[in-house]
Amino acid sequence: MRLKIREALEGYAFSTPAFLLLFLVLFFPFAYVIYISFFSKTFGYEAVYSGLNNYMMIIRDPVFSYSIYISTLYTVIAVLFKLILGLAFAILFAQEFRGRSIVRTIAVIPWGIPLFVVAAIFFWFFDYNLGLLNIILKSLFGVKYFWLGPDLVIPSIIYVNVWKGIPFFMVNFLGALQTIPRSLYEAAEIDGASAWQRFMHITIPGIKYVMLIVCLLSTIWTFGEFDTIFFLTRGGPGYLTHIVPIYIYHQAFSNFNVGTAAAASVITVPIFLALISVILWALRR
Amino acid sequence: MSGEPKKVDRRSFLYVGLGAVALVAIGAAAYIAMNPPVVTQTVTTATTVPTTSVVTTTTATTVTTATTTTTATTVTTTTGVQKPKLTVLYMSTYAPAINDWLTARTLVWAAKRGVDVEVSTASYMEIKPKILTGVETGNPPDLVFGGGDLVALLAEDPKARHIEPIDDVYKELGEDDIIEKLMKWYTIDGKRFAIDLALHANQLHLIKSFVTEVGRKPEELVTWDDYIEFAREVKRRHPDMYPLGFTLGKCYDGTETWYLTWWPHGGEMCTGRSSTAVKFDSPESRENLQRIIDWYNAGLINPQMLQADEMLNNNAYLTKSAAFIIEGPTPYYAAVTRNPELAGDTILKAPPKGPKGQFTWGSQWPLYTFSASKNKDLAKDLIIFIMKDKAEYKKMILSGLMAVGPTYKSVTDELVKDPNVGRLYQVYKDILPIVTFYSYPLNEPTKAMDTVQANYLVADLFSMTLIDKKDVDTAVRTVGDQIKQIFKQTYGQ
Repeated sequence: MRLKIREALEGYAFSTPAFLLLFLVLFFPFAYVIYISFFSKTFGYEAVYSGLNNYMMIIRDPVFSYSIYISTLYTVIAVLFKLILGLAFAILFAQEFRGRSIVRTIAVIPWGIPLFVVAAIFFWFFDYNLGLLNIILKSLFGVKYFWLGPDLVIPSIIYVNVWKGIPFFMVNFLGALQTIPRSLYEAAEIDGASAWQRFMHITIPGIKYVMLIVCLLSTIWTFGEFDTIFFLTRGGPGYLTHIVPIYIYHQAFSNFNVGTAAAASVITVPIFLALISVILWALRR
Repeated sequence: MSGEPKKVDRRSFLYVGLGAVALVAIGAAAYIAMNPPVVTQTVTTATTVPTTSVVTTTTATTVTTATTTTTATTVTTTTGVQKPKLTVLYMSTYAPAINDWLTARTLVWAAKRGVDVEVSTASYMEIKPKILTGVETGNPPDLVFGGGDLVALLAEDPKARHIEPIDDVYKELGEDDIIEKLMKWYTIDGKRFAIDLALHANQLHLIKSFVTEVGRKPEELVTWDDYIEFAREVKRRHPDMYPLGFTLGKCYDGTETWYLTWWPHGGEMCTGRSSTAVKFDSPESRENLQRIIDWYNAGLINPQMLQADEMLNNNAYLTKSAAFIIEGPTPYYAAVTRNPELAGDTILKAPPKGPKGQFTWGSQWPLYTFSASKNKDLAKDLIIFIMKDKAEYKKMILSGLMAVGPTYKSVTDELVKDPNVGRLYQVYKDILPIVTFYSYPLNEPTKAMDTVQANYLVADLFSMTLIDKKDVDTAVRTVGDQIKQIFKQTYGQ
């Protein structure tokens, strides 16, 4: 009995530092955000308890509802495109061809570029007067578009995210593809399976778990993305690209209201978890 | 030989861990023992620096203040292991020469005072979060340049007054020589909380070649009607061009577009500190919004201007894709440094007149320090050092190539009399009477208006009508209600 207590104490002694670290790094900030969400709190001023006021205000705010909608739309479309194109490129680059390693290296470059640099590149790429895209279009077809204007801004920011994110999908899929035994394809070919059948019944099941993890990570990153969109559009024109992180930023640093920013963050958590669950469920099927 | 890893006894592991912790603790104790708290000695010397009246050196344990009003000043220095360290946060402006000058002066001051100084810079967008989080954590920078629309937020409420009054700095600099309007903008309850490094007021950047092309003379363009007629004429000649370089996005410059067209047509924001004093929801606001929508629909404003970006109007001018813009003259600075031909083709003028008068927007470029700063007196001393030597100060103004005007009346007069640049700086003298701030006609800093401005609420009018297709009445009413709500939340009435 005495030995067991001693062992238990030793166990606690070992795990306490790790638990404390975890508490400080993960749970404390989150618990503090929940706590502050019940207060009316301006930077530099005393926090005043306000019950559920912040939550009611956020729920009633049409801009917040729109932020949830646009963040979800942005995430789902961007992840879907990255998944399809990442897989296509992975299959393409898995083939033997001359200069394959050079092409593979070049294809990974967008992933290595810092987000703010990507934003700066595309800010000028999309510019109406000076942007390369419009210069090409004007010289070829005599037309120019407002890429970051009200009609095209959402496809444009999705394009930037897809451009930046494809290599992550591609590299992971490429790795997973190489673990599928070649003999499976040869056997299927002998049995008369078509290319589509081989893809659906060998390739997809072979990389299924990698797909799951990659999609999950990408969903988390895309939903929480701030830098690129903030630099490109600052949530505009109007509120068209006011994704959730930008909404929260504005609550804190434009409205100076830390409480509503915290409430918006807390409300987002279950929505975010639901989105991840749907994606996982869809991919498992 | 076994391939299994050798098992480590858990108890031994724990003892090793505890031993390591004990060693760290002994090491820390030894370090503290070898580095005793700094001992401050006061050394009084007659220095040759004629600028300092109050210098306080602060250490963790001792605060020593020496004050004098004589020219041969008393400087308190710290001897011991540590020098005081001043953290300064400077907004990076669109005129890099001004930032370079400011940093250089700061370093010269640090060398003269024997103070360590850490200079960091932040863009206009970054500086506000940095200041606010510093205040919230009780660790603000010792000195800030920028964040003008935070001054009332952090100084108006006596219970949460985070910015240190600097009336002593004004006295030392000679308050009679400082432009009253700029002083008033930082005056709350009779105390002054910041000082403008320079006057950054909007001016009309008019490209002469377009005026000549339509058979007009620049001096003929005076009123808003004149300028809009001119813009329509340019549009007729260049159908692909958008002659009005006006930002309509939810950003700082988007709000300037509103105020610069609204004030001359009778628009007023507030007359006091209560929701009933808010005058925004008015026929003048509706007329002004309709006016801008008409310009937009007539193709006078580029739809790209709906983006939230302060660079758009600058670029419209620099690429000559607009016939004129109204902006603090940093685009002109860019033209002088990068495109002298365009600079030569530009006239800087006061913005157009309207039926209710002529106005221009005054941006804030303040220097201030915080009550929580351990080095606030050193920070004040640095402000004095930066501002007091007028020959040096004039160099900064000139290095800005018209981007800014002086905070001092005397320096303005001196520049106007200068045979080389006098004609240019006359514009700053001319626009001074019409410089206006966003709480017009109250013309005082208010926490509520800081919040309205930080939200760029008035710029929402453009996206509501031009993107969301709401009618003018709904847009003005919605924004008016939001402004009233902010006043109510701030002042309780």
